Amino acid sequence: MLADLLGAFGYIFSPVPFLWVLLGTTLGIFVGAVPGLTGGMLIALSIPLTFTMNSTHALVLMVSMYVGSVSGGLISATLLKMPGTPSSVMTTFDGFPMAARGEAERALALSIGASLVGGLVAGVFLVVLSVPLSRWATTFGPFEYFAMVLMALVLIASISQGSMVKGLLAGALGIAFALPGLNPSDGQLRLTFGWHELDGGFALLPVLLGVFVMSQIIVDAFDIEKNATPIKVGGASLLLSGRTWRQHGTNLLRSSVIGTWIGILPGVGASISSMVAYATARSMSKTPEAFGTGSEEGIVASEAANNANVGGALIPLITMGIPGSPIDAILLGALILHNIQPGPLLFVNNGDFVWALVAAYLLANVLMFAIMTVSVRWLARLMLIDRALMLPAIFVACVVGCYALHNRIFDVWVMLFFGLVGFAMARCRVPLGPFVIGFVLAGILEEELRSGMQLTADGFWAILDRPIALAFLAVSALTLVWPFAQSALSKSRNRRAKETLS
Amino acid sequence: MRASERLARIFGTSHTPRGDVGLALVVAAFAALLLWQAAKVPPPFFDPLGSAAVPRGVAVVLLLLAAIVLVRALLARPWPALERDTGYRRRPDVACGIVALAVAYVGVMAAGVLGFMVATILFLALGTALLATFRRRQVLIGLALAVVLGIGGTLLFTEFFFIDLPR
Repeated sequence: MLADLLGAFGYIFSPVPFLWVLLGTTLGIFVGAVPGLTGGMLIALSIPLTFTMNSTHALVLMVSMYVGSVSGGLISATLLKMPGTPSSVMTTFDGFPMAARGEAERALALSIGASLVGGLVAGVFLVVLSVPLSRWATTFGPFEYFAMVLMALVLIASISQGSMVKGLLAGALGIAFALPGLNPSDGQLRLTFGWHELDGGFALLPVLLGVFVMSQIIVDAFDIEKNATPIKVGGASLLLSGRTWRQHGTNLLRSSVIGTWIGILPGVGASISSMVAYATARSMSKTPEAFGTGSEEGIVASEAANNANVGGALIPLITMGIPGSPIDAILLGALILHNIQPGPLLFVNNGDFVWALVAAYLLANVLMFAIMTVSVRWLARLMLIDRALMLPAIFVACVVGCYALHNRIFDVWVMLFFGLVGFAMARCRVPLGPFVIGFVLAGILEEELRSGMQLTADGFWAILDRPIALAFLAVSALTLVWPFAQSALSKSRNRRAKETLS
Repeated sequence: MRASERLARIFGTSHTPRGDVGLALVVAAFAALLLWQAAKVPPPFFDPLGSAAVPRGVAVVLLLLAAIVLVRALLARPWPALERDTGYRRRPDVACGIVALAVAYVGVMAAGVLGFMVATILFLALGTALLATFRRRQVLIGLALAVVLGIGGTLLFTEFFFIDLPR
């Protein structure tokens, strides 16, 4: 394992891969720092530009963008009270009040340092857990894989932000939109409405660009008058003393582990990680009343967790082919578009490739720290870039990306359609993450179910003889039933309280 | 505890009831469309699952979830007043305008009326003007950028990335 990792570092430090990591991290920070642009947008837009690139370089670039974008969001969250990315929402609660009282440099330094620690702690888990997990996953048969994907979808839908019903609805809609086209198992065309363009189904890239980029363009146009004046960053140093970091050591480690763990859960993004870590830090703090008024602990918890989430979310992606967050669903799509089969065999068939991604992830975290520490004052000016100039150009890039896929305008229309779908979903507060993950995983779900049923005479019920598959199904069922059980429990508790009172 | 309160506790309260009614109806219509199309798929010969089973299953799940969303929205009555964001003015007109412009941009290329370069210059210039609410300075900057990006982008995509863009 260590030899593989060292070999990957040797590769990643060679000039070309290093430059891709540097470029990806810088672009990610840039996009993360500008409110209205997200990492998902950047990575989805980059996919068509990487078609002619070496697959390893392409994915190394995208993983670095992922790391950079999650970190870049802290700048606008701290100086503008506007999270650059959804994962930085919790940072605004304490980062902005701290900056407003004249401690902008300290708030930024804490955020950047916590991001580095979070990223590296998750990196350790990524290195240690990936190999055993992927070995375990290679023992899975079709039913185990089917049950695991089903569990992932249920977890994604129920733990994602907003209501569980809307999360499930988003996941089911994602699956539904993945169904049209030729069914490879029996060669039947289905749900095509007689349109031959739909024979191959909706291509992944236009759907990703529509849901993540086009819908965001519409949202940004809707909120085009939303503006704020950033707080200026002074000349104080952005490097904090060892004493400060020792003081926050426990919180840093705890929040990093929380972020990693939540990242490993399929589909749960960095924003949930930072919320849970923030809540935990507040409940364990000696000064919980300071949270929300510029607490250093709050900043550290939020930023350590959201960066740790990135590394945690890569674990199920590279070991089992299950996206750990919505952005990982885009990375999964990028793997497929680059003809790399995701899943448990990824380590076996493309071990060097996977280790290169891990090394790129670790290097991107260190580069992120260096870039942000050196240039945060300059980066802060990015927040003032006029969106009116950027959004039309981003749309043109989407059009070219979709068109380049098959040289047909139909894919551009698909992108526009899914942009409207994404916008409508966002307006109705239906989360986009489960939709994209449902779309990406639908094919695997159906294929594994079909394979499992073809392998046995008992049909679907043969799943009852498979303990691991049953365990996954039990977790799915428990996740679905939990709200009902919670309701029943609270009802009986209320009744008991009334009886005690009377 | 009333049945409605219990349901609200289980499924959560709808914060966007008006939108949720529309969402439930659209999803139900979409599920019906799935069922209709799945009914047209011939039965399987050797495959135990067939091509219609998953679309049918997903359609049923969608119908069930749409019903829950509808019930949640109806239980939220009396519906709260429409959200008003006082911090800044929302611009649905600009959002609709940019979508219309995007459709026109793709449409003229699809119909072969304009090639990529000209259509892109026009789209970028008009899009920037619209998003900048026709402020003179931005319109002029947008126009200059449109020409640079339109010509430069076409050269980049055709000569460097070898993409056969609509002519």
